[in-house]
Parts: sequence; C-alpha cells; structure tokens
Amino acid sequence: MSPYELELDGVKIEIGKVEEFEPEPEGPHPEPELVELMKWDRKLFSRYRIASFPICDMCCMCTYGRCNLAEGRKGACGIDVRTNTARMTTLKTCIGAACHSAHARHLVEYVEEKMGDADIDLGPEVDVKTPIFTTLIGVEPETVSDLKRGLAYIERELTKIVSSVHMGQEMDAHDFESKALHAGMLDTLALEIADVAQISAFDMPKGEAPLVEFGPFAADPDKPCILLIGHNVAPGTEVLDVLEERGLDEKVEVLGICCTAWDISRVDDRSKVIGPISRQLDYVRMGIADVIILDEQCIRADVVEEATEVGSRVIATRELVTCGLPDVTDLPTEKIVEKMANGEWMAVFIEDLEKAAEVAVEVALRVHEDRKEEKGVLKSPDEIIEEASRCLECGDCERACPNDLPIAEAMVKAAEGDLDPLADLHERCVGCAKCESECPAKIPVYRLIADAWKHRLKNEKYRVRTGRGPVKDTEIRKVGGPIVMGDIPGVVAFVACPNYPDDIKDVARMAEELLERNYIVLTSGCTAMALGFYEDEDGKTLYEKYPDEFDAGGLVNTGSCVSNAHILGACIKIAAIFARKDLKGNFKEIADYILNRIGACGVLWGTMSQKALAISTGFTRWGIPIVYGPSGLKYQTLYIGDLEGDWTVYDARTGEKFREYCPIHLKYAAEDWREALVQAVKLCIRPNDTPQGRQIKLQNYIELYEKFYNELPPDLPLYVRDKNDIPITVRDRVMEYLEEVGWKPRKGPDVPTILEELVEGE
Amino acid sequence: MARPWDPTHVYTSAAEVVGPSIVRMIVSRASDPLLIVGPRAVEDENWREALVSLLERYKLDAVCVAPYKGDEFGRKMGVVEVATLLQRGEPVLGKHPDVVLYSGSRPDVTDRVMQGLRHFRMDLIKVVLNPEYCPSADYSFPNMKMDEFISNLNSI
Repeated sequence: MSPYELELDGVKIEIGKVEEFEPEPEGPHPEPELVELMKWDRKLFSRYRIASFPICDMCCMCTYGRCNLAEGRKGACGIDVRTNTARMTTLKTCIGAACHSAHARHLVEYVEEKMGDADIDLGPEVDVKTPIFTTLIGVEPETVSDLKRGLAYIERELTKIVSSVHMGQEMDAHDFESKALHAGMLDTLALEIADVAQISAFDMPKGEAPLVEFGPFAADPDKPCILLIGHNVAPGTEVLDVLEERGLDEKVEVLGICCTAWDISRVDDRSKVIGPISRQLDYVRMGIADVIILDEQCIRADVVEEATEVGSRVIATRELVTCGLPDVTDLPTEKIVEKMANGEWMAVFIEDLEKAAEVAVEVALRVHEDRKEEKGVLKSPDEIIEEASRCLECGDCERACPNDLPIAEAMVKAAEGDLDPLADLHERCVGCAKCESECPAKIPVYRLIADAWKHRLKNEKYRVRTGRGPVKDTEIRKVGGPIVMGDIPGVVAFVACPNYPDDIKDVARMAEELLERNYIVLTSGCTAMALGFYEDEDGKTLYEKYPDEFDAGGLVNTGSCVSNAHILGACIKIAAIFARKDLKGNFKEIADYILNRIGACGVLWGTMSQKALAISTGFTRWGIPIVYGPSGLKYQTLYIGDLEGDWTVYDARTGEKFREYCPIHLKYAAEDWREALVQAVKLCIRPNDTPQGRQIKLQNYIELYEKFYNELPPDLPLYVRDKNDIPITVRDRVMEYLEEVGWKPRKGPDVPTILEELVEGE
Repeated sequence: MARPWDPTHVYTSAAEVVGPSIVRMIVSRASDPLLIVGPRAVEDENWREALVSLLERYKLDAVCVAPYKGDEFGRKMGVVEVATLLQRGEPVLGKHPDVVLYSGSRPDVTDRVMQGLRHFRMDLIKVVLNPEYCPSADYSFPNMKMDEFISNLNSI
C-alpha cells in the first residue's frame, strides 16, 4: 500500500480517489460448509446421542419401495429405520429453512425494488446489528442489499443438504443429523436477514414496542375489514400505504393472524393482532373479514373454501401460495374490483402487491355494507343444541383429536342444553377441526365448540406488546456479566406454534413462574400471542405486568417467527459485547461460548411446523438447548445426554480437563408443562457458573422440583461441584442426600470450552 | 386387527390385544419387569390405586414419568429419559428390564415411546395398559370405557 492509501472495512481511500469494493470475509470459518462444522457436530453428538421415535415403518422415497424398515429390517437401498428417520428430520429441517430463506429473499428484493436499497438501521442503541450474519458470513453488512450475500450462501448450502437426502447419499444417522443442524443454522441466518431487512425498511420498533389490542373481538365490526394471514409483511405494508394515501387509515380495520399479525402491528400499531394460527379457521368463519389477503406460510389449505362460505373475498399474493386461483395480475384494477365486489370472483391471485392492496381496500369498502349481516354470525344456543342432538356418540371425533379432548361427552351435555362443557374445550383446542372432518354425522363440531365459547365471552380483548425486534447493546452490557456468571439464572425463550397439549394458558403459567424467579423471558410468534390470553386477578396480561426489558424479570416479545433471530442474536451479542469475542466467521468459538457460558434455553411447548423444527434445530447447533412439548416427539429425533459420552470440558487457560454434565440434554420433549418448566430451569445450568450463580440456578431447580415432585432432584450429583454450589437454605438436606449416594466434591473449569483448539498454547 | 385409538397409528404389525389374564402371565414370567407410570395414571385416583396394587402384588420396579408428589412409584424421570435408556439398552434402576408395562401417558406419547422401542429393542416385551389400544406395543389392552379398564387393571 502506498503512503497515500488507507483501507478501511469496505472502503479504500487514496488521495484524490474513493473506491468502494466488496469486503473480504474474515475469520476462521467464513461461510462454513458442511464438513467444516461437522467436527463441532460430532463433538455435540459425542455427548448428546440421538433418540429416535419413528413415525412410519416404511420408506416410500423411491420405486424400489415401499420398503418396510420395521424392527431391524433394511430397505432396498440398505438404509435402516434410524438413519431413515434422521434423513426425514434433515429433509423437514430443510423445508423449514427454505421457507424462511425464500421469505427473506422476497423481502430483500422487495425492499430493493421499492426503495432502491435501505441502510441497515436497528436504532441508536444497536451497533451489533447482524450478529448471526457476521458470525457466519464473516462480514458486516451495511445495507439490505448486502444481505443477499447471506442468502446466496444459504441457498448454496441448502441445495447440498437436500441432495444428501437422495437415495444412495448419506448413510449415517448422526451425520444426517449433522446436516439437519447445518440446515437449522442456515435457518437462523435466514431469520435474521428477513427481520433486519423489514425492520430497516419499514421502520419497525427497534428495541422498544407499544402495547396493542389483541383478540377476536378487537376488530370494530362497523368498519370495513381486511384480514392478513401468513408471515410476509410486504402485502400488509402496501395496504397500509393505500389506506394512508386515501386518508382511510382510521376508517378501515387491518387485522392479522399468525406472524403477519405481529409484523403488521410493528409497522403500524393501529393494526390489530387477532390471534394465533390455532384460531385461524374460527376467525375466518366468523366472517369479520371483508377481504382476506394471503401471503405465505401456515395458511390453512381450506381457507378459500371457508372464506367463500361466509362471503369474504380472498386475494392470494405470493407465488408460493397461488391456491389454484385465476391469476388476474395483468388485468385492470377496476375490472378486478368490480368482479370481486359483485361476487363473480370470490378469490383471485394478484402477484403485484400494490395492485393487490388497491383491490383489497376498494373491495372491502364496496362489500362491507352488504356483508354486515354476515359478520360475526354465531350459531344460536338453540342451533348448537339441535346440531349436538344429531351426535351418534361414536367417539370418532375424540380419536381424531390431537389432544383427545372429551368431545363426545360435551356433545351429549350440549344436546341436553348445557353448553358449558363444549365451551370449556375451546381453551384446550388447537383449532385443527379434524373432529369435523371425521364426524360421520357431518356435525360442524369445531364450529359448535368455538361458538359455544363465544356466547360465553362476547367481548374478549387483551393488551399485548408487539414485537420489539432486537435486544439493545445497552441491555447486553448491563446483563452480560450476570448471565455468564449465573447471577441471572437464565434466559428462557417461549417460541413457535400453538399446538399446545392442554390449556393454552399453560405456557403463560410457565413464563410467569420464571419471571417471578428473575429469569429473562423472551417470546415470539404464536406463543407470544398465547401469553396474551392469560390475565391475572386484576385483568392484566403478562405484557402489562412485567417490563419490556432484557433484564432479570423482564418479558420481551421480539416479534414474529423471523424475530427469533434476536433471541439467538442476544446470546451472540453477549459473546461479542461482554466477552469481546470477534464474531467474524467465528461460528465454532461463539457456539462453544454459548454452550458453556450462557444459560439460555428455548421452550417450544406447542411446536408444530417444519419451520419450528428448523428454528429449534438451528438453536441447538448454536449451543442453546430446546424443550419441546409432547408434539416434539413427532419430530422423531431428540438429542438426549448420554452419561457414558464425552463430557470433557477444558479450562481454556490451563488445559486441565473436567467433566461437566451441563446442559444435560440438547433436544428434549416433555409430556407435562411442569416437567417442561423443571427441564428448562435445569438446562440453564452451565459449566461457567460461579458458585453463587450455580447456587441461584440450583435453588430454582430444587424449589420447582420439590414443588411438583415433592423430593430432591435425583440428578443433583451431576450439578453440585462442591458444597458452595448448594443454596444455603437446603445445604444440609442436599449434603445428606449427596453423601448417601456417594457424591465426591470436584473442581470446575474457570474458562470452560469443549474445543481443544481454544486451549491457550494449543 | 384391532382398531387403534388414533386411526393414524397404522403400522406394518400391530400389538396383540390382551386381557388381564395374559398380562398376568407375562408379568409372572418376567425376570425384571418395569412399570412406567404416566401423568394420567397419577391424576386419576382409581387408576393410581390399581397400579399401586399391581406394583405391590408383583413387586415390580417402577419409574414415574409424571410430576407427582407421592412416592409409591419409586424413581421419577422424564418419559424421554427412560425411553432413551431403554432404547440404548442401558440399565434402568440398575437393572435391564425384560418386560416394560407402560400405563398413564397420553396415547400419542405412548405410541411414540413404543415405536422407538419397537424398532430398537425387539428383545424387550412391551405391554401398554391404557384404556386405548396402542398398536406399536407387543401387547395392549383394547379400547375400552374407563370403568372396564380399571376393572381390567385390578384383575391382573
């Protein structure tokens, strides 16, 4: 370099000339490929072994089959059931990751098309803007367009993983799971790209968020209403723009279901979140929407049929979800409006989002008056009784019900005039409507449940905090130390879908218990909505009761599914800000830091989709353990600690070896919410805990275990290093137990790592 | 073939439907039977008492996979933890059970646990004692009403 030149990150300055160039990726593993991180995965699998719960005996992926793999058999290609199960996990994880990356690519290209480009801006208190991107790609993006480099990396790697699922490729179960972990990690990058792009472009909240109205009755039935369903906010922003341009923003209701709900409320807090995916069918059937706009992901496959039934018009907008509808994108707006308003076309596909928004607003205005009678129509109590009296009591509805709800018994009571048992089912119902599909008497069972509930609660409205996006660097500076030392006992994230095994409020009960115990509780997606259904005796939701702070006892809603990136991002930022780790291209060191020092755990109590599988699998590769509800067993593979495995943890300063059995599992499924809560607390224990930190964590573990199980946790010897780890209030009892089971004190590492290469001098 | 409680639980082979007398024979002949007790069983007084009685009658080892304050069912574990130990062929309570009796978990959880053992522990005899037929076990009670189920449990 000549004395007249200066090179900075992405900029080269010469006297008389400024030249921009693409910065070179930095770090030990920029854009890591499968094999580069396989060693990390094998480290994980040397202690967390796969437990398989195959759903299907058969493989039907090629025409050699169907092959029966049951009970030790092999398929025509030589594959066994454990490997095939891991193969399916890999494929499903890829599907989830592909969903988020396609979503992210659309948002980035949409921003480029609409605005040319946009600077990445997460507010004045966020300097570490893209912790996942920087760690994986090895550069810090400046603009939304720069994010495309990450998308290209995701797409390249995902293609490789999907190809490994072809017959005659990968043949080892753990190496398949390694590929699932890779796909999951790619998914976390896609999440970040999508959310950073939309926060920057649409000026969404940047670390602070308002309370918004929530619930099925949040909408004003006297106004024309547009309902957005899905996950991609772009069509919704166009609707808001049209309403603003036409001065109609106070005159038309904009509602959302599922993650689009969170995201549109992040763009404009007058938009209303009406509910999670589990209420989708119910809200469509309520007929409150004059127009329904579909974007992508988690949309019911019968939405057009159901919407048409109640006179709602439907506009599909994304090439991924064309619903078999006529493509009217190239027709004049007036013609589309006319035909939709007069009912000739009840549903259409319009790919041009501006046009879709114009049509939606105009149609909503035109049909609203005529549809007033159809909105919110419930079956009357007499009609419910009449329908219920047709029940054959065959029980087929119960057998189809994912939660085995006592539907037949409730129908008998309803036929006798008592609608309460039917209404009671609603809180425990996941809204799948398989009961209706199964009913031989063609009774609209789900509808009866929903309507009975609505007769009881006519004006259900709640206050929830909409998604705030990133955790601020200032917050990380404050809590980084206490989290790493264990003084804040853990960061627990309640995320994903509402496929709950019982009462929708169980997830809130878990969250509140942790908040009272000074955990930091994070949430996102449909689960963040479930928290809003829970009110205390004063009628306050958790969002009104606990501060929106990333601090002990704080409850932070990051936003939609893609905002899960900020939950992982907060953990990475602790490594970057508190521990001053260089993020660039440094996945292994950062994941090792999280695994050993940051007491974080994800709870997916109602997990359902392939996207939720991808998110959770990605988190585990970054060192964050996951607790699923019982439906997690249907993902078919879990990563359960094997005490005979390699639990070696090195002290990075001395190279001394220790055995630290924490976190004990990486992917776990609990049958009962109390079990999930106890596991989440246990999985926040880390090798790095100071004695004081370990005391706090064990205090919570012991108290909760005793509360639900009435005895000391039997696995305490794994977590007590010496008596200073034991909370003083239970020390005598615990020591008595430990001595009884032959426990011996041991030392723990000061600077824990499972990577030999991070030991100084290695 | 008996109809599974959940009509989607269809496999290439299905558990033999048994009554209490066959279960009695299986338990009597087992060297190290293990009873796994799930949440539904501990929350229903009649079910719980029937299992306590079974436990005492045959001096069974047991693990309780439910949050439960009582101590009748011995060691408490997560269902996934005990299922994993069994899948791996590792000892549970210091023994290698040859028969597993599983009672009291949700039908879907029961099916998942049994499917794992069906594929990876063919040597283990798997018996489901629930009021719902579970095809992925080796032996299962049929679908039946609660009264009949409790009566069957008590008749083992």
